[in-house]
Amino acid sequence: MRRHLYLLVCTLLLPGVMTAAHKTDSTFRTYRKHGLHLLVSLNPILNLSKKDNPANFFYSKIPFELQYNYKRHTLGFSINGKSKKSKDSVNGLPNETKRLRLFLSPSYSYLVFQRKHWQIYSGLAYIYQYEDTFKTFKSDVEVISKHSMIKENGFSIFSRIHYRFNRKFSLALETAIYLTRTRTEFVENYPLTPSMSTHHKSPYNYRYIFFIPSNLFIRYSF
Amino acid sequence: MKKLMLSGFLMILLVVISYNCRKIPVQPDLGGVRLYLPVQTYEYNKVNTPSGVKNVFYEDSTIIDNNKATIGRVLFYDKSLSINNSVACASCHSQKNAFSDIVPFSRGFEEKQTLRNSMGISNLIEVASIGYFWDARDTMIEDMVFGPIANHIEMGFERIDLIAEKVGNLPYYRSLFQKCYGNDKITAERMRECLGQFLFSIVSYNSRFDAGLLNNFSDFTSSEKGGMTIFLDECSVCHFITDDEAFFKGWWGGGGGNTIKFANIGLDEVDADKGRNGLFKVPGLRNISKTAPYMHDGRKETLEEVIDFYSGGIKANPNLSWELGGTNGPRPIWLAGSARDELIAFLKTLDDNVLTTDKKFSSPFNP
Repeated sequence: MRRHLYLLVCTLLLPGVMTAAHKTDSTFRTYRKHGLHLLVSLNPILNLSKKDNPANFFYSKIPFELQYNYKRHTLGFSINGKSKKSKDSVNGLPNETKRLRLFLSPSYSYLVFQRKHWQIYSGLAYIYQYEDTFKTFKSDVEVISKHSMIKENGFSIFSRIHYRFNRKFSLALETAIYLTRTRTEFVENYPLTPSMSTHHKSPYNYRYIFFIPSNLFIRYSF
Repeated sequence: MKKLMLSGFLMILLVVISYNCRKIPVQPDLGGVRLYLPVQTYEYNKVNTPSGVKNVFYEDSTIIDNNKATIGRVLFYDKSLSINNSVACASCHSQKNAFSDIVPFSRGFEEKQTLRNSMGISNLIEVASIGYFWDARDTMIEDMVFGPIANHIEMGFERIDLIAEKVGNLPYYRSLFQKCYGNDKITAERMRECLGQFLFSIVSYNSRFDAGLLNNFSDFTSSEKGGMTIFLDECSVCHFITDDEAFFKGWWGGGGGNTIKFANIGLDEVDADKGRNGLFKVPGLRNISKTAPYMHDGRKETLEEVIDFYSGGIKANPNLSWELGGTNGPRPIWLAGSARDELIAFLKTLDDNVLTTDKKFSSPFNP
């Protein structure tokens, strides 16, 4: 934990120290008074060829984020979801699977440091992730259903260093610490064998994840 | 006031719509499942054979109970006995294939492959003293019947203690148990007994071989007679025939397959006497031409391949059974000229078309 905090602090300060010697160019507007921005994660694109690589776990959880800034304060909102319905047949018995994934994350960040090309934001985000899988087996005699729901919520503390190419585009590198808790709920329903039906709710599982500074984003300012 | 009423109405409408949009699985009409059973129960306790009517006995030497065998027949074909209602016993033991399967490894409730080839079912009383399954791990029929149901690959009902509860909630069993036992109580013990009685009622005594026993094989062609001679000389040491009833019993044998790996170790898995890798129960040969593929893992697709294996393909193995040469190395069966074709011609006289078409062994569900 302490080592990770060191890294976070270093990531935060190092570019500032490096660029501290540079004089501020007053002719270059470091930030707009207010504006709308779109932050898009580059990691999924960079890793398209190795989707199953476990290293991909270190993606940022945020695939893209819509941001609004007022002076140094920035509010962001990220939403991502996927819904899939599939049908299959096991030994002539039809079964149907419905999957839903939802990710929500409102965030606040503050511009703590700026130079001509460099900006550093630090902030806090609330994380909510929901995964729902509903599977049914339909036979002549009963409909067996299996329903699992995974809910994850928590906070992340993050820091992003932006390198501004121009007024429109900038490249950002993020490091973050996630503190989340997860709960799994599982419901199995066997109408003909009620004793086999289960409703299980797991206790909260607390997780702490540190993302090394490897999450790359590109930001477009409208 | 009007606005208030309108708001209230909209709220109620919203609640009703959201309630109806909840995803609740719809139960199918249970009337969709219909049993087609004869008014007069089939006679499972008797079988017409070329030599006359024979009684059919259960494992404990009592005569088969027709009502119990009837329930056993329904259970045998009922997919509700698998965890997700996808497979029945009959899915892997098809009547037209002499109650075996046409693939090397059958598919279980999640379409996963089973580990061994599905054995044909007939004349179980002949092998009752040896045991059931390829490794004879169960010696009581009422233990054996729940094995595949509880198996995690085959039918997946691992909480087998709850099987009676599930069957008890199916509407079509109540009257059957009432008629058979005098009350409609459904228990696992009764289910075991009924399944066992049905399986024991599956007997095969209507082959040309059975008719030949009465007329000294006068209807046999010269090939078939030649094949029978070869069989008695070379094969009956394992697939032996008793004098009175011409039972094709099984005994232990094998060990002549792959000498390097035993992915499927056979008797060694269940026998306290270790070192029996590769040995399997010798299956009975009635209806053998209908039960392809052959061997415990279905590796041989035709009878020709099987005979070629025993006449030249056996490999040396420390566990090779003594009938096949034992530690002295493989002793292939001796076949010359047209002997292979004659042997196959004889084996086909063991086909019993009555068994594979008899309605009392067919599915009682929607035909």
